[in-house]
Amino acid sequence: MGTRGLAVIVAAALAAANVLAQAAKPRGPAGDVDLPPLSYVCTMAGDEDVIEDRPGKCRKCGMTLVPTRLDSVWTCATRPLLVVADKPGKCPVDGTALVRVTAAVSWTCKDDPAVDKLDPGTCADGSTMIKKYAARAHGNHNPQHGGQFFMAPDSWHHIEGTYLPTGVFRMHLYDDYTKPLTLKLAREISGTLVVKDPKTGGDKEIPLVRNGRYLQAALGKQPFPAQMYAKVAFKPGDRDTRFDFSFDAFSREPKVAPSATMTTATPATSPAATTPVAATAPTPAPDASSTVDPALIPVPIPETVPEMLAQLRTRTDQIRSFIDKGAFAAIYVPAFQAKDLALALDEHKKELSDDRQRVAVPAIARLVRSAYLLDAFGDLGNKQQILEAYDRFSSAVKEIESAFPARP
Amino acid sequence: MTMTARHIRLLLMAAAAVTVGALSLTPGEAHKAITSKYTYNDDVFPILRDKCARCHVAGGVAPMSLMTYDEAFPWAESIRAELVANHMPPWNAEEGFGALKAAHTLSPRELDIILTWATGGNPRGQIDQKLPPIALKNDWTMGAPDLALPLPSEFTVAADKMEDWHEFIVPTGTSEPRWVRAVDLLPGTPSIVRSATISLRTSSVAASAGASAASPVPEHVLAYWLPGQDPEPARASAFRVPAGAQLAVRIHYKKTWQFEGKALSDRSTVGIYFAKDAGPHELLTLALSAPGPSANDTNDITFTRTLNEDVQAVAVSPDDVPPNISVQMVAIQPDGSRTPMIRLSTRSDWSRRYWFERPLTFPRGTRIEVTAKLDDPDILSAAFGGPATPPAATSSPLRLTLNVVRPNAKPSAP
Repeated sequence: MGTRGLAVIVAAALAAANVLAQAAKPRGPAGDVDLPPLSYVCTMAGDEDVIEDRPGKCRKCGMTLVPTRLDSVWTCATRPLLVVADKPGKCPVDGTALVRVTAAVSWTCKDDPAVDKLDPGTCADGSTMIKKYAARAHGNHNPQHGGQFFMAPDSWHHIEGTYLPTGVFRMHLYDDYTKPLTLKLAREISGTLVVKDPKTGGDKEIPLVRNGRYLQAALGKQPFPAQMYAKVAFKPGDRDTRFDFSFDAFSREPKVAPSATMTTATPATSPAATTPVAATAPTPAPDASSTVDPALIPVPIPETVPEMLAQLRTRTDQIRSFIDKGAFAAIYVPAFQAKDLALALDEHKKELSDDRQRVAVPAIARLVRSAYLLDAFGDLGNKQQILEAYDRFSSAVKEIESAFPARP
Repeated sequence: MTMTARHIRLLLMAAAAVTVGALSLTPGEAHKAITSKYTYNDDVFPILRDKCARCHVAGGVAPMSLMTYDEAFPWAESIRAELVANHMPPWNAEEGFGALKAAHTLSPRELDIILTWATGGNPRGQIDQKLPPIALKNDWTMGAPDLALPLPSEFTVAADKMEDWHEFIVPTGTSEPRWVRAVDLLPGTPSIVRSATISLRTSSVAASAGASAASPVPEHVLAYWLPGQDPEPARASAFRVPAGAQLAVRIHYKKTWQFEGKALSDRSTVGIYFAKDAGPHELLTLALSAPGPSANDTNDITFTRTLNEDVQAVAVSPDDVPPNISVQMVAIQPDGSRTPMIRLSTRSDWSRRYWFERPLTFPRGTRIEVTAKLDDPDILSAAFGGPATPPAATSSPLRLTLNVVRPNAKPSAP
């Protein structure tokens, strides 16, 4: 096992880890640079999920954690980190909606890309350092080819299933950086596609055949929604893992072919970048409202109780509309926003009579629980469960509304 | 199903849920970035210490201690599932429906802190930060009892058994009748004493008559004991304990996985607290039982009992109810006003007596209405669990006990 692309982040982070840098952390409302907080990560392959907010040892392998700054940013699905925005919008390259990824943030110099600091500063030539973004393991779980994206139980392999207009199911294979697997690694993977035979209604098994770096099966044209699952063994002799797919239409490749890799440390600032947008991030999103559902856009918690209640109602309706659209994986965004609104209302409970507090506080606790329930069920993708969780959620909202007078 | 199996199952299922993953139908994340602003050391530990340490501590009855980071973080997924399902802390009554004493729950903020930590990468906090070691507290929470009665013999849970039940007969040795405000149990070996029911043996005849009795009869169940739960002393009311009474102490012993294959012995002690005031109201019991198999097919059962005298309701306990159903009790007074009393999601092994915050005064003619929904309300278990819990049969026994006092009764000697 190698440390692979992580080495880039790690070396960079190590070089920049110094007390001075931390002490110089700009803060305060007036600060023009709001740095993402320092996180301490494990560089051991397979332990990338270890993230602490203090220095120390990895709780899985004991290695010393290295500092890094992680930020949640918006970028083109097909050109990860080529363009980086701090809010949703449209990809200037191919016009698709930006997707959210977790990236490591650091600072470098235009003329000396070897410089990699955790904090902004001045370069040897007197110029101001520029911000750059690097990929982070599991930072990008977005489909790259318009299909459906899953992580394997080993937390390292990732797959994406697409259903092409030619009647072919194609499975793309990735590592933990959503980088396509090398041919050598792809060769270790085998699988079978199971699809319902429209004539007999029985299950039909079609072997997944390797074609270059992906696996595919010719299943012909199925009626939509086309449901199928793949049984995949990631190593010879491994147990099969099942991945369920449901296609409402043929998968459409994003307009621009995806870049082969997203592990280059400095894509945003590389002088070799030939694309029209050699962006120095963060690029302001061109027009967030036109492409991204407002339910996905976090907004600050308002000051007053009536505003909080109004926003809570909006978020509740947004959850409902995501459920109706089948956008289960996105439910958690408005659900957690609503949860934070409810917790903000909890801070105002002292303004209520005892009787009203007796209604409000348990209702807020129920809302917190059902927000996490919606989050969990959203990942599982079973609509019946999600609706039950939503019932609980919306009844908690109603009780909160009844406890807090709309006008104080 | 054992506690261990249940937790491990939840853990595995939750892990499977994450890996099998979602159908990502929109451009969005299949998984979330891993970050929690709350750490174990600074935020989570203080809550666990204050709210969970009586069981989730080394030597405690829970299957795992949560008092150190190393012990807690492997259970993060399980903690998430238990909190979201509202299974932990164990308090099965719905808050906000009726007013109950001593709700043993987490505040919304505490819930959010633990859930954020459990789902957000479980950060530890400062590595060299020393947290105070938390030791098991096994002591009388109400102070030393007026009468401490060690069980007459030791009981051993055999090496090849994970759980066992035993009933001890304990003579009180009292020479005169007494008013008793609370009865508690001090486990000899806390890690295996899972629950206990302490009853008066002398009133067994009266108790069996209670179900059909037209009027309230003396309460003979002195305590439903659960680990980590404070006994609730009766106020202005008391149990009448006759001279020389015998107690029946039925204990449910349960081993956690750490003790699998080991024989463990226990000798617990019953503690009795006598009432201080001279003439408290006698605690009486009124049974509320489903009349028989329900005719409808909605899987709901509703039945009522009309009070034939003025009473004050002080407590309620689900005596015999199937697990994983919801039961609601409402009082409908003669003037039509409705008083919500309790709504429960029943769980096996967590039966207790729920005390009302203040006595509820009901005039003669008040109807106590019980509605049971037999469909499993535990949607989290259904989602993460193995075999789904079959809905309870409409013919299942369903009996609750309402504890009342006669507010107009003259003070009397026990």
